Amino acid sequence: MNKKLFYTVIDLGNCLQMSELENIKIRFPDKFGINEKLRNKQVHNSEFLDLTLQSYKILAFLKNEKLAITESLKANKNVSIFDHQILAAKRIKNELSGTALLADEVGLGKTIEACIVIKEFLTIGLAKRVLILAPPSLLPQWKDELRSKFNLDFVSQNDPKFIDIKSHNLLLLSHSSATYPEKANALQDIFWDMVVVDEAHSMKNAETQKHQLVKNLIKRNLLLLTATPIQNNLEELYNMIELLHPGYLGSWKQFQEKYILDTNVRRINPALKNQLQDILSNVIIRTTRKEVRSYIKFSNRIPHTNILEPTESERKLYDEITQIVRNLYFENYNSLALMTYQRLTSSSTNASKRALYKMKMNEVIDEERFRELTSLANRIPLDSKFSNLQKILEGDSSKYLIFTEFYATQDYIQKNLLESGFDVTLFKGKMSLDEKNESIKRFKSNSQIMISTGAGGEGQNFQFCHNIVNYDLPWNPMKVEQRIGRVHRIGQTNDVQVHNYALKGTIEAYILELLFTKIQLFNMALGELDLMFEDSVSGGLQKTWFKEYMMGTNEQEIINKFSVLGEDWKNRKEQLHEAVDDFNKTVFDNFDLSALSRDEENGN
Amino acid sequence: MEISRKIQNLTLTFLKTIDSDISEKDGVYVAFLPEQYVSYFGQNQIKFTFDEKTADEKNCELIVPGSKILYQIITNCSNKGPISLRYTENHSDKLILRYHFFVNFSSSQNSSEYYSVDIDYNSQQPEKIQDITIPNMDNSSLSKLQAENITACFTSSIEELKSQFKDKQRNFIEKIKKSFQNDLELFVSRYDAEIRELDESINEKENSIHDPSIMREYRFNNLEKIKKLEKDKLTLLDSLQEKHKVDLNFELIACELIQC
Repeated sequence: MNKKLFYTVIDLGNCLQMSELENIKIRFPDKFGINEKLRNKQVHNSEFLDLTLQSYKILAFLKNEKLAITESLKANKNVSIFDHQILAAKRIKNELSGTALLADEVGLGKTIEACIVIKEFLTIGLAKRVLILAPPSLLPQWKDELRSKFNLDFVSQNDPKFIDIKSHNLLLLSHSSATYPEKANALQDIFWDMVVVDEAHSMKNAETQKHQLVKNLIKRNLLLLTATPIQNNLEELYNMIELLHPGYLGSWKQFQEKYILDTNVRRINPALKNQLQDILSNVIIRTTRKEVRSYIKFSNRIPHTNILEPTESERKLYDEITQIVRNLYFENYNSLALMTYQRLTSSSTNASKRALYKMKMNEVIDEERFRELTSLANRIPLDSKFSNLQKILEGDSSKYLIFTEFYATQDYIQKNLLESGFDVTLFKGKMSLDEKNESIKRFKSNSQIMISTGAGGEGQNFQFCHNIVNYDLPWNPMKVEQRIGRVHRIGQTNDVQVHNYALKGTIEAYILELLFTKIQLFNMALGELDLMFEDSVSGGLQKTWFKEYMMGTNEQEIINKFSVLGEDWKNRKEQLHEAVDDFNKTVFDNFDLSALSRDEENGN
Repeated sequence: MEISRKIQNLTLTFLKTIDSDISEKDGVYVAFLPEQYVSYFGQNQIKFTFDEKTADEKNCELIVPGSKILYQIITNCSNKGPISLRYTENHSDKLILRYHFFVNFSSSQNSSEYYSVDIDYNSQQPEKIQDITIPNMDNSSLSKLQAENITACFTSSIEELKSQFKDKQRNFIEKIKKSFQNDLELFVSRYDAEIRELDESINEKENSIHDPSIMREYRFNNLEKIKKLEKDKLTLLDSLQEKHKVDLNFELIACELIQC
């Protein structure tokens, strides 16, 4: 049985080896068209002909350029483009046939590099259909950057313009939604000129649906983006290279036997280092921070955690509302609604009033209770958070970007800041693009302070500001990073001050102190965060925290619960760092995969 | 002419040709577009420059490769497919048809070039003319054209084009075929190796596992893996065919009737 099967397999192999390239289309113009016009004596102004010839000559020139859009990139005011990004894009286009693993260290702008390649391929007609797959939390950032920095209008699934998979040439989808059978089938029916996979380490396991999806897509060019191609062992790197060039490294067993020394699959045979260098440099581009230090200044993030003692009235209001929420929680009331009440209550007094109003409208509390608690809120003259923030602002004339999750809090901060004589501008998610641009312009020129309800910001550059205030705290760590990422990006020359606020005893204080501060979340980069939280079901983290907070019968119990969660995160982060550092030392640091050094080798 | 001059020339000539009202001050151009082009450009006036420094200082679009306006102009111009009349300075009654082609070879690698073929109208044979040509406002030469000759000239131009590009075409296809074969061999040998490894492991286990039910399960699992690999192999072959599919497009983009 086995032997028979064995020979069958080899026969099939031979059959495939004999496969010829089948798809060769040669198109000559038929005798109609221009020829027909001539016969009908239809002629045009010779200027039209000159224009046509000129445009095709320019097009031919651009198609044969190393990177046709270089000049426009350098002149683009909406984005800072660096040499290593241009060189990486050139190498992808001219040497790697549009297929590569972009493995730059975190914070060096892999997204921008991919955008450059996409723009180049679209501009010169090498691509028409492009698919980008990214984690859901990064979709808005991709969309913003493509539109505001590269003038490319990608359609994502939540976009009102979205019709179906087949209707859009420029499509942006989350990894997970693309694996739904209906979508996956539709995606696999299309020939994609280019597929880009962000945070591609999530494709590391060959058995997952995500990996299978990318493998089965019919595509000409593929870009995989990750700062950490390896977390556990070399099989992960092997699996990603398999996506790029199936068979390039042989079978896993062959690769393992030839190049790997240890059973943990983490050590490479030093005798074959040069051979592997050649192999990897044909598929991977990796620029390190060390290489770009001469022209990029990397600033630090300095977190300031302000957990303030609430006033008696603030404490009473928070406790009363929390008690209502807790009671409802045990009655199995809709937990999403309860989380919203709790988040509003933690944000500001004004937002607490909004929570009370919602509770009344949902008949969670009666009119009398509503009036009683609203009256208590009205007796709070100024939020403790605001008083503290005001003192900071009064002593510093530099610009501040204040974030809040809620319009009620935004209104509250704005009203009080204006009364204190500050020049303030607002940024709201629901503003039109023109309104947003106008608001950003005001912030850049006149206003000292911007109060924003969106973590986004339409890909705009806020590098002129280096102070962030988290007036309230998103419970989603990725959102926290997106807020900070508005100002802390390549090109920021100052250290970024991150001011975080919470009132003692509130759920946010526990999240801030026992989770975020413990793992130094405010210093982590997006790639790292994604690695840490990639296994968490969307919204699952927040539900867990809320549950722990609701179940805690006293302060100590809540502290204990959150400490356990924090410890778990801390261990996870340490293990992750250890694994990545170890791999970099044993593998990546042995190889030169940089576009910069290759350019020098070529004498440029 | 360097590319930036060509781009500047194309942009300004295009805007003049479509009758837009253009003004220029300190390197900044403002063009008011005629009604029929407003929706195409998405605005009724465009403000642009060809100088990077000016673009930065005056906040207007820099027209360079990658700019949206240039892309729109190139797309518009390349769709015109025009025919025009010209003559050479010391011309007689001889007629030449000049066919302009854009030759685009695309696959996993790409190459593009512009090429023109001159055909003598009477002999219908290729005959390259080097003289400078001038726009001809007199269209009396058109009346001399006969349908069967036009077709014969056209056919001759295609034959000449084919002959000129024979080697380039063959080399391009060979290059892509080689690249296809390389990719094919890599993945076939990788899949075959894995299938062989699974197959051999069944044989090895048969010598070491004596429990028939465990062995049955082991064999079943490996055979399932082998089936999946075979399926993957065929899917990848399809994908590889698509990736390397060759499109050699000889596009006729314009034609001139030249009186020489």
